[in-house]
Amino acid sequence: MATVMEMPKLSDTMKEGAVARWLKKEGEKVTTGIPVVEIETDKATMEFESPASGTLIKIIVGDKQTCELNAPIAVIGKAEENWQEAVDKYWAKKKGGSTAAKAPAAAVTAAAPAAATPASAQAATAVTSTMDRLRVSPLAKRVAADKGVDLRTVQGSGPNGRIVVRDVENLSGGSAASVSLPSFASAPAYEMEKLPLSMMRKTIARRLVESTSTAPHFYLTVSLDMGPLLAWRKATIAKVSEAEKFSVNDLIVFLVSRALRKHPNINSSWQGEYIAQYNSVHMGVAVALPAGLVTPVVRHADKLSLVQIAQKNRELIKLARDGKLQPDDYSGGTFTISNLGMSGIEEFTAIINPPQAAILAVGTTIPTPVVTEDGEIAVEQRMKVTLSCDHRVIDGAQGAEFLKTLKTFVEDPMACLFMG
Amino acid sequence: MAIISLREALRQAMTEEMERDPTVFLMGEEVGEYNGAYKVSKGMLAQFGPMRVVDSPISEAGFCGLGVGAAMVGMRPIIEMMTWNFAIQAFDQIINHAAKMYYMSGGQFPIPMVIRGPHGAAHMLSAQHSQCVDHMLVNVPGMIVISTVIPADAKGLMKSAIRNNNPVCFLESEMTYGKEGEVPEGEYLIPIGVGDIKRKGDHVTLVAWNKMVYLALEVAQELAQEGIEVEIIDPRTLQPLDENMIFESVRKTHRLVVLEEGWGISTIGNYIVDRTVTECFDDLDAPPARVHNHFVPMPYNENLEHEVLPTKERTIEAIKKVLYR
Repeated sequence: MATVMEMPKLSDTMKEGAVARWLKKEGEKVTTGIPVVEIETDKATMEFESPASGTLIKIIVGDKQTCELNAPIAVIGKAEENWQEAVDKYWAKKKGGSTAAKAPAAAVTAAAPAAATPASAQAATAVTSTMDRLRVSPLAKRVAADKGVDLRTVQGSGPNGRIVVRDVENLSGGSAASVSLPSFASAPAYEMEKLPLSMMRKTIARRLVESTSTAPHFYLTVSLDMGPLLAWRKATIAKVSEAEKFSVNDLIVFLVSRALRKHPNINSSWQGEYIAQYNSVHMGVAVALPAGLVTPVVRHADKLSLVQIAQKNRELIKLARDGKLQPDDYSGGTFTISNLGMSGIEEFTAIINPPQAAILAVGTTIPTPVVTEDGEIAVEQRMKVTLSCDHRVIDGAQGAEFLKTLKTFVEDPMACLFMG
Repeated sequence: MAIISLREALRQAMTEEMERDPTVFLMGEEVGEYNGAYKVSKGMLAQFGPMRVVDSPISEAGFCGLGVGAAMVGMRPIIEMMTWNFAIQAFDQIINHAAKMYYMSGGQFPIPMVIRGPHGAAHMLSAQHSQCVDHMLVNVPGMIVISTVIPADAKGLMKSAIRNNNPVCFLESEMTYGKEGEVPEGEYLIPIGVGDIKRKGDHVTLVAWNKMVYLALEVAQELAQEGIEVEIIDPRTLQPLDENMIFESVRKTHRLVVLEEGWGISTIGNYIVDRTVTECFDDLDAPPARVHNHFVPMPYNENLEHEVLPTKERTIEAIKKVLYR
């Protein structure tokens, strides 16, 4: 009996999967537990093992092609076996359990931009989080197929969240008819290149639109005197071993984590029915990659030493740059730091990483003239940080209290000893 | 065009056919001297005499069997049942003889017979005299089943039924014998097996026949004030059923409600839903809905009787359900 290999769900946020590359060709022998394919998720490219031993008799989803989760991507069995029969049996077994297109050819789509509209992208999370499968009227399904609407992005208004035809019509018909866009038809045809969307790019687009359209953001900026901290770091790293060295970013992760421990209302997330307030700080650190952005998570950052944080950061950044992060490495963050200081950005605002309640945008440190308590003008090493808050969870004064604690810790690291 | 009642339309059809063809005759309880229990055959004894308008004994199985025998020797009998409730007495003759004879005689004996009478509930006739048997009749091969109360349809289809060489069960309604409508005079034939759109609409398909058509029209008028346009399909013939008319309508409206009298289990409504879901699956935006009698013996009490039969309120509710309103 041939075994059907499915597109695996390798991360919580993964909505579809792409085959990056097959490591074996059709007709080659494969063995249980030995990688046969590289799967590109929204965050990383991962090797995936063969579920059975035998011959790779059919590759259904080829290199650089995408398909729905759990759709068949290959069939493994004896060389003479009929792969189509195995796939038919697979779908027959699944019947009623999936609204995915039944024909493998239909389930496979070349890597192409998703048809999701901004408003419906947020609906998608609502739909998938409350339901094990999509409920769609037959007519709505047909109309959606005709219009190229991705049903996973549609909020159903019928009983049990059933997607009915008006939901699909409102989506595509409404946006086409009622919104008058400037006509591009008459614009000069510039030369351009169409860049295909990577899984990571699609995920960034979906999640950040979800964030800006659902979380009411407000921003608090504070200027920190970095002079004493930088001097202390310089003196300290001169004395320690290579393995114990730490960067300014590591210091910021350390101090922000300690400050968050004192302000659990910032270390929270909006969950629709309630606010989740976390006992521990799991710090997401945004890492820029050529293909996009990923935020590996330093777990229990508030309980780690500075050296442990530095080591963990180095390890995660390397994995991220190599595209080797595992789902565990980037999921479950409770707060995020985005640092563009090394790029010379003075200050900026960041978009909250949902469902977290806040993100801290860190700018560069520059010598700045300030008026001291004595009324003198002095030059200090100043760094500006901006906290973006989800007002559903955090009020202005609470955000300000947190930044006040952070300012104390940064400007007087010794305070951490008895306050943090 | 003359405006006449259903009973006049039926009488016109029978009279015209009896004038046209000497083998046609009418037989039943009190069709002659009493001019018919509901005056459908009023004046026919005087016109055609006792050889062609025959008062039978009170024995449905007996005179229905007589009809089958007469048909076998070349006559074209019209058998009037005082109601289809009483015709249950004659089901052996109808199902085992009329419907089977042509087949079992290897085509030697066609049965050109019409069995007609009021069907379903009238008014406060209680449990034994308020029933529907249309769903039983359509499930027997070898018979045609027509069910209509619209005067013009009744005339056109009765004339076609009398001329047809198969046994035809013709279902009327006691409550509508006095209801009037425009009826073409003289030769007016409606083909068997062709439905009629009683009202055009784009939003929902409502299939109804017999006296439920009047309820459907009332419902459609009320819903039109809310902007809901109901398309009413009256199949008129239940066997064979004009499925394509229903499918075409559903392909336009994407929604189906069947309104029928009688209990709701194993009915023509079930069959219509089954066929529509099979043939129009990808056109449906909602599961089809049905309105029918509550599953109890018909109460004698007037208020309860009203509640057991399909009501305007329940029909509107079903329509709004398939519209997700």
